Amino acid sequence: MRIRTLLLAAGLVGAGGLACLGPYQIIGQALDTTISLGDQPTWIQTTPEKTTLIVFAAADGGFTAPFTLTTVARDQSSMILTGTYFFNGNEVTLTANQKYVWQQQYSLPVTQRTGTQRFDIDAGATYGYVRDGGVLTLTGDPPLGSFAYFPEALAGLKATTEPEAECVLRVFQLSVISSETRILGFNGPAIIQYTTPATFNGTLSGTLNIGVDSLLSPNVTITYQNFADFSGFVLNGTQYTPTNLNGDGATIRAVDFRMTAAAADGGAPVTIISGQVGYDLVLSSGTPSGGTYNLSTDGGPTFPLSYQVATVMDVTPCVPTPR
Amino acid sequence: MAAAPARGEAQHTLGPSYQVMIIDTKQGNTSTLQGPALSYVATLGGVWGFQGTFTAYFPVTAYQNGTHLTVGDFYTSAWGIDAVFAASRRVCFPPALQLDLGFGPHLDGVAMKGKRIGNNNGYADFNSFTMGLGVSAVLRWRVGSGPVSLGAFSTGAVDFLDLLHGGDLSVGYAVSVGALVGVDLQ
Repeated sequence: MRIRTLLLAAGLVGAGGLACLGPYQIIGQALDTTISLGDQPTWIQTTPEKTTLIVFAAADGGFTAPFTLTTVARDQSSMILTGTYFFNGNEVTLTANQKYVWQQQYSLPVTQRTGTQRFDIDAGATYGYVRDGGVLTLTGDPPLGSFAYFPEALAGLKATTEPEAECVLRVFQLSVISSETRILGFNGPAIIQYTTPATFNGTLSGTLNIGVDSLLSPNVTITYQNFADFSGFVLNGTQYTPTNLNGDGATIRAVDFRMTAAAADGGAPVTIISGQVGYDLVLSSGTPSGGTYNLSTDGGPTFPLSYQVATVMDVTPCVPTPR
Repeated sequence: MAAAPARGEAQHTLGPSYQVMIIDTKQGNTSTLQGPALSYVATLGGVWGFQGTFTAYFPVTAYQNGTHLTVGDFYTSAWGIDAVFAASRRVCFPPALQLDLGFGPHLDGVAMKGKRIGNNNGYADFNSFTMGLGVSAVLRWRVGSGPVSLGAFSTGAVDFLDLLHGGDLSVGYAVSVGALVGVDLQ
């Protein structure tokens, strides 16, 4: 599981002297460059090795429109590309101008971790674009493959058994990981900059606020308010991670989730699944090392799921997509 | 030009200065900070001695990969310290000029706290704590028979280590120049 909690400062001042704060920051670097797009079509592709999600925003009358491409690897490492796209016949050209990277570095002491980074880039690629009902296929060299429409791919999501609950937790984690991947310095020592709290926009809607109590009390609070990075999947709640300077501590409190899809008759959105993930995790050196996620669905049972469930980000059992 | 006995066992001078700090990172970024400063220079000993140059500076302008930025637009506070701890050699130019040249360890630290603007608009902090080797040169002119002196100084340094971002520093450069006024203590 990932709760890449933060950490910290782990010994900003310690026996060995000053701690490392990871790579240099960029002078004048904005913490958040995201402008929420509103509810926009999201597509998902799942394999046991990684999950890829694409948001293609509506062109809104212009020639180009924003997109995000999020990849979450099996080991939780994640990358987000953002930029613009445009159609030319049956082709779509993606031009990425920012890249967010979070590397899972749980094997390293917190003070040696890189934390989330954002890079300005200028990269583009053109793909053949075929949309056939609920399947989007992007061909090219290399091909991106086929994607399922997100609400349809998640339509069968349920948590009536423990294996189902485990997969729902991983789906929930897709949004959590995506949100954390945009918090500069997250899971690295540079997290200490949030002793002055900061707010980040969701790709589609809502906000995430992060705050650290103090340098010597590096307790991290993350609060989601109607936060959505992917169409219909909304988070609300608080994750609180009290730790000492070595990153030893816990993650507690709870975050609600709700997955909705447009109604077939055009009426109010229909809830596919909703519930809550309660945190009861133990952290050692900023890494989950014990405890449980307590996942419950509205009207359903509560499943205490081992912290290890989220360490393997494979959602194929409950989110099959075309190959 | 001739070496001469020290005019004072300890010379303490203080004055306004200007500081420039350049940081090249292994990720390919170049950050340049500059701004006004206040420097204190202490020279101890005789022909050979110790010279410490301590500068507190306040970055007001910056260049990030060549792009100019006004520090106050992005940071709520910005300050730095710079110090050269040098073994020094004194040279006197009678009747009233004295030049002290030093070489030794250099330290520089910068802390800039990013602004938070509105609900979701803010900037990342910037900081560094570099170490390397520096040189210092202090030219003093004794007013009358002393003990007051006027002067000018300059330091330059190349840094190889950063205690905060150890793996990412390629090389750092620090330059200070300033004017001084001080006293000689016997």
